[in-house]
Amino acid sequence: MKKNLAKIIISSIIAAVVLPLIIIGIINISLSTNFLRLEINKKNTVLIKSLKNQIDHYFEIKLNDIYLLKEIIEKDSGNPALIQFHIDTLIEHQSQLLQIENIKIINKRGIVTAVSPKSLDVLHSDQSRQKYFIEPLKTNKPYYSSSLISPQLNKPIVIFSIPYKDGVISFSLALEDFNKFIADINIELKSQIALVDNTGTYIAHSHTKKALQRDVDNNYKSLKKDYKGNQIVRKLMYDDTSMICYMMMIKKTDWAIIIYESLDELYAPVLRLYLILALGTIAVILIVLLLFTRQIRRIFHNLKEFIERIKKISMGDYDKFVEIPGYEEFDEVANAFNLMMVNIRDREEKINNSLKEKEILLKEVHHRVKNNMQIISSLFNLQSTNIENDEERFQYEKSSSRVKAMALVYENIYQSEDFTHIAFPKYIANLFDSLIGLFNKFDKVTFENRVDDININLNQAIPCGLILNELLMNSMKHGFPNSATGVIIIDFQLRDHVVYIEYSDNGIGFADDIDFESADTLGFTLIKSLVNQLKGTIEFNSNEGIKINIEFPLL
Amino acid sequence: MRIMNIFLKLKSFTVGLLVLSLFINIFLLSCKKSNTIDVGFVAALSGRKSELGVLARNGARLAIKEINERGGIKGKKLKLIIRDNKEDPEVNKTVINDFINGDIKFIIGPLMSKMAKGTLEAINNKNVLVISPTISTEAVKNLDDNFLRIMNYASFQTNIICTKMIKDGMKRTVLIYDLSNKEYVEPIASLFKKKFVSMGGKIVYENSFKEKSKTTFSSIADQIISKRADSILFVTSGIDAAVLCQQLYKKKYGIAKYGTTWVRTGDIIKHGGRSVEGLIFTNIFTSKKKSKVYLKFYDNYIKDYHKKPVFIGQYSYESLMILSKALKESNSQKPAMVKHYIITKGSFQGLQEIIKINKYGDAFRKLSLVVIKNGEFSLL
Repeated sequence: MKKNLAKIIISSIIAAVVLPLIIIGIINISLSTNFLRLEINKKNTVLIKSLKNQIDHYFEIKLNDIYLLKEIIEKDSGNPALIQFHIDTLIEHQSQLLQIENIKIINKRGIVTAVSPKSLDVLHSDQSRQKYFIEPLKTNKPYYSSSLISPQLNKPIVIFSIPYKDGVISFSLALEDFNKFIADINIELKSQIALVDNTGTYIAHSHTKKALQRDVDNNYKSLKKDYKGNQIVRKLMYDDTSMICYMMMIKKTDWAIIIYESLDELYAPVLRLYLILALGTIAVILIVLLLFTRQIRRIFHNLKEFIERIKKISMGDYDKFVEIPGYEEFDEVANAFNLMMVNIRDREEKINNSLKEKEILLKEVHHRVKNNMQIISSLFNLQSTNIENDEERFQYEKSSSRVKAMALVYENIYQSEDFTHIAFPKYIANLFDSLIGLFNKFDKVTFENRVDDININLNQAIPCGLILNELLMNSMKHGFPNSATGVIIIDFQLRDHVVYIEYSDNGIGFADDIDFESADTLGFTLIKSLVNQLKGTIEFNSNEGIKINIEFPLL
Repeated sequence: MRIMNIFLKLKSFTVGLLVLSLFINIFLLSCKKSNTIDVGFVAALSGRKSELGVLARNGARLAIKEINERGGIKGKKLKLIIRDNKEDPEVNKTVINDFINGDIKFIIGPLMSKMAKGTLEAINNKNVLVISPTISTEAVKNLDDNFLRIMNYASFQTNIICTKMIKDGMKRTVLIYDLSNKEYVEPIASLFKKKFVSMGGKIVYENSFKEKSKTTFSSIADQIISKRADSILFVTSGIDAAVLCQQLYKKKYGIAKYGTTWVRTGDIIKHGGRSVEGLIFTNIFTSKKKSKVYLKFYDNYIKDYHKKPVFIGQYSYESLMILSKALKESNSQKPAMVKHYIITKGSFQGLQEIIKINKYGDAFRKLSLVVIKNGEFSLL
């Protein structure tokens, strides 16, 4: 099966333009996504470590104050006034970072023995059920509470407590600094940063509301479970949005910093790039298709013209040269083709001239053959005029007629267009006219020419003409004696390349005793011989006239 | 020409593809939109008494999680839209209006009785159904509206605690109530005064925290001591009750302490320490033998929030469970149909007891009396 040029061109465009564009696009997107991911990872790793250091730094400063206070209190443990003075001093002169809102000195029974700022409601109150009292005493380690809203301050605090020799010292630490710090970072980064306690409750959040409402981070539990000491990076859902999450624990407080970055926002620049690339690709494809379509339409239009021109040239129209505008290659093809056309035209002209010469020559030859045969026929006629015996004269006349029949073939041949075939109806009519004159049967015998419009070549025309000449002579000589009148019918048909001749007359017919197969008269012998030459068959019938059927294949 | 036919086919194919993708997008968007049922949640999530709202929000979230894990409502997930009313009735009204304007048909909350009036005004003649877990004010009872609740009227707990006090032989009592939640507190205080006196008792002192900023808890304690009261009834939050108990404890004044359900909030044991030992108050019904569903709720709550659930979380959880059942059984998302199902059915199995809801959407359920003993809540 032959390939379709148009399909090949389209496939080639796709293979050469569209596919590389798509592949380049995919590689580009993949590289840029990867690059962006690495950059974001780098940025958030730096950010989470910096946050951790910042929070550690806050606590470092605060813990220095707290442990210094502890030492002093333990030293002055017998003097409540001095203790009150020390805690008041710390509250008043503390560093700005991570404000201590409240300090309580709690004895081993859980009773508050000193509080700053001073509060009659709190002083001597019982804190024995509070975790920040129970835990440090039980474990002899510092304790950090979960975040809570201070009933006095109405803002989020955590309570940090440490054991000392007479009980527990508790500090209410305001988380405002963390929230402010994180909110400030968030303005620039647009990510969500959270500081959670060991239950996953927000201590601080870039959306401060979440910390104020003590919201719980649903991902914290699973993140903490998988935490092995290094930063965790994971894709997960947060606030119904697909996020990339970074988490790092703060050992000292058992808190964690979590950074959420929306994947939608993260990949927004890449998505924009995707869009630009996709639009660019579509635009390029459309432009390429448009240009190619235009060019291909031109090419195919020119090809169509070219094909039409070739068809005309093949029909012998050499008047117009082929023109295929627009392309050098097409010009070359057109020039080569026009050169070929000129060569063919010149060669054809030569052949035609040569053919014409040959035709004239052949015509001349046939003419001369006809003339020679007519001379021979005339010679036979001249010869016959000196013979008195009718039978002998008739023999000469028959010979003359035979030669004339052949001359008539050549006459028709050289008058024909192709010098190889003769029109048989005309030939038979001429032959009949020639013979009726010879036998002077003008008023006696009529002729019914039922011959199809058949052309017969020279090789078959002469034997066929001779056969009919014999039959016509026979009918005119013997068929209508004593001035009898009659009709001769020649039915000449061509069916399936076979010529069917039915020759009949309504004369007296053949003698009853004649045996057509064995008859050895020259006439019959000649007829049979000529039928054999035509590779045909002949059938004789005699009943109220004669009827002869001949058939032979037309060459 | 054949090439042009191919291009025309390509063009038709591209246009067809675009149209198809447009239809797919519209279909997906419409699917996405209708694949959830939004449920509004409004409570005080910031402010001094926000502990109540935070615990209720936790209970509601747990219910939503469990409902969705069980396949949602006929394949549709419930989505909780949480808003803070900042303990302010006006803000609460704005939030409810925002929900209505946002085509939210079901709202859980608010929690405080002072929000009831504004809520009713906002939902009047609107296509929305509100289920409050804890509003108990008498002011909205027996109203045929779109406001349902699953907590008893305030008078119900008043009767129980008053009867208990008389039974315990209290004669001279102090009434401490916080008028910042006037709609809840006033009917209780009023009914209590009437009932306690009618049963032979006497109110020797009362304080409604009107001058809270000017008065210390220590001075209130001094007043109580000076009146030689034998008992005190707190119609306040747990923190306020704890702080006042601390003052009485410091002054070594022995007094029988009683409270309404409100004192159960705000970690009263932690804040009150030994001073709240012996405090008796009405609480949600607590069976000695816990049901499986309650134990599951209890475990899941601790798992998610690292704290034991209190009544407010339970009521919030139950509100959503009743809504979920009604949405499923009524086979409708029309508030009127869902309400019709709830008031027609009239009885729902809560986590621990049957909750009965009458034709006005007011609830009736058992209450228990609880005492603080050795730093724990114990059933009486």
